[in-house]
Amino acid sequence: MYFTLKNACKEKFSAHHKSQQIYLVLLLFSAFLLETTFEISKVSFLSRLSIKEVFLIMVNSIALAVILLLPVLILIQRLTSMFAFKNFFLYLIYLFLTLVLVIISFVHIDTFLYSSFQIDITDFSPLFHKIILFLMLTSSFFISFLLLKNWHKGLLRFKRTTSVVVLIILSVFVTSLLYRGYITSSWSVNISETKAKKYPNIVLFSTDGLNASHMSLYGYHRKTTPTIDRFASESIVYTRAYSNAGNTRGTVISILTGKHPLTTMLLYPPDILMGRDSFEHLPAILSSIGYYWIDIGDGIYTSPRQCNLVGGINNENGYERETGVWFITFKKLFNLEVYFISDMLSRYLDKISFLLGRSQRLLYFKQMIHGIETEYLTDEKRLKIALDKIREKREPFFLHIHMMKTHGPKFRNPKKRYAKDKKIIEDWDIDVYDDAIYTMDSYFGEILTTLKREGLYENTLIIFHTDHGFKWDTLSALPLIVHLPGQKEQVIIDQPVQYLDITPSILSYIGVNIPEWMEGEPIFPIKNLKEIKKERAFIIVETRGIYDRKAKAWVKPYIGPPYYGLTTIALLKDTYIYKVYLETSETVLYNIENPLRPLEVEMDKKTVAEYKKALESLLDNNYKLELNTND
Amino acid sequence: MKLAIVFLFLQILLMPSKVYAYIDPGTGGILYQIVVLAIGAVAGIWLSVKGIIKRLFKKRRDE
Repeated sequence: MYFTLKNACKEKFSAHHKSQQIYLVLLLFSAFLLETTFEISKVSFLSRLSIKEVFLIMVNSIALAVILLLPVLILIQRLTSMFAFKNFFLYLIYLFLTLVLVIISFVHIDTFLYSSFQIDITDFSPLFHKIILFLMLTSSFFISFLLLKNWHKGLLRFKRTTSVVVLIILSVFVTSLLYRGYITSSWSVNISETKAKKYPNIVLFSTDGLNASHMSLYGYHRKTTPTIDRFASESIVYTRAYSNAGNTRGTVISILTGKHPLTTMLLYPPDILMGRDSFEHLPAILSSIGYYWIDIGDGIYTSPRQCNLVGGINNENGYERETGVWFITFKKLFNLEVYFISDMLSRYLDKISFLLGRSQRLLYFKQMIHGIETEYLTDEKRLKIALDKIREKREPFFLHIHMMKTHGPKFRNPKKRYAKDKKIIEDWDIDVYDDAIYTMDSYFGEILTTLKREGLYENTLIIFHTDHGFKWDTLSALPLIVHLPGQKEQVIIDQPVQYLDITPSILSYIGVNIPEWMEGEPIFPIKNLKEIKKERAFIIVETRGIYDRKAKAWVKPYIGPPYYGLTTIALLKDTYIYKVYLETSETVLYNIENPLRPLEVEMDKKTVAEYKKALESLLDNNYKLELNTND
Repeated sequence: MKLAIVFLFLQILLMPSKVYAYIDPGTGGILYQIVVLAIGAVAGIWLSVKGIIKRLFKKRRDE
């Protein structure tokens, strides 16, 4: 009698355990299948990849999740079956899995409604959020109860199918693991200069969309940048600095990697770093010689994590990040799979955190467009994180901070100085823009003051720049100011320089060899200033959303060949910028003798031919991109 | 199927008319919408028809 009962119990538990394992695999499979459908249905980081690669990413992601979670589930099942209240534990496991199912369903219903009707949870009140949460919880409790009672038998019907699918997935996973282990073994930054010495701290301060022409330092009629004016009196001031990309992500990542956007093909979300570009960058180099890298930005457009920059970043927006060798080795093997999984998880977490009232990250996009006020990573919060981190004095540190106050069309809560009497504020209002610049200037001042107060200023290299101009302008000169530790006098450089030069210059200043893959030329320290050539030529690229008249919406241009999502490509050489609109093959020539106010000029055939040849030659030698022009 | 047609019709009617220079990362394309709609429709139809089919089989057994 006892043995019969024991066997019956064992069978009952074994049936539940098996159904829970099948439940988990089915959940993972459907979540990744839905996510892949979501990503391939629009322009995403998968758009650059072939169907085979997309398939591999999906299969390997499921395999990684199964390998990671199935043993955990089995372990929990074994452990809980050893104690009393076995049925209660069975119920808890069902409840956890059902909660995952409910969250998956909620996220996709929300995404579907947003895709179809532009309505999502952010449009509803907190009371509605609580009702949704209540429904999610009660339905989970109810479904789990039914699963424990009878429904689990239905899951057991999928036993054979699940086993076959898992076997296929695992065999694909093992094959790609062996292949990738072979091809990624050479990806590393290989720094030869690692001798122990005291390196300076570095502060890379950038603010969004700032034209030099709106700064009093560069001659603007309003005193918008009093702090920067004083700071510049003991710094190197570049009067003809240009960014290589017309978009935030393109510029920020080109500076962090030291690679031109045409090399990484990273300009605009959802572009990300792929292959060896994910591992070859300034943070990785500095990390290998002992720097502590603090990165503060919007967590989206400028985020190294979102751009798939792997390793080297110790702290992002106040949160510690993984930089261990094991993690980097694992990422080299499954770079895009890990990105895919973490991107999916962050999408889920954003929605759930918003429902719980714990994060407003979901509102960031609406804030950028509509100026909706959110508490999510305001410039004031970024500044506070930066100041706290400076006070920690984990030397040598590298602080990269990107501010958004100066970003249009809406400028977030600047101190009112020039627009204080204005009642109605239009998009891109110049008075508000100047107020935003003035506010940002004071925040930059707070960083300088803290550095001085903490006794760090004399040993800190400070660089001030932007990412692109007002309304994504790439033709006007942008600010670039560099203060070398101990510098007391101002040096003005009138030769053209590009933001891509910042990275090799930092390495040159701290005495680390510049790797071959890094583009640009050193433009500081002082010994390099004389070597900056007046006749330098470099490329500026832009990508924008294209207005789709049928869909009545902005869409990202097709990011495959021949132009990979680029909309314009321009060559800056001497006193002209030659710009080609890739979609229409239209060309325009700008005179930049006055770098703050570029002028469109008549095309004289000789100049155009010369510029076209120079641009084609630069492209042929470095980027293999072919141009079609109407000239 | 009827549900799908109604949803697609509503979708065309409510297509956004505002113009933004930033591409919304949270929007899925038409393929995604069709897939989610299909899953929803199949689940909905199954739940509503399940009871009828079960009753049919039960009756036959009784006979």
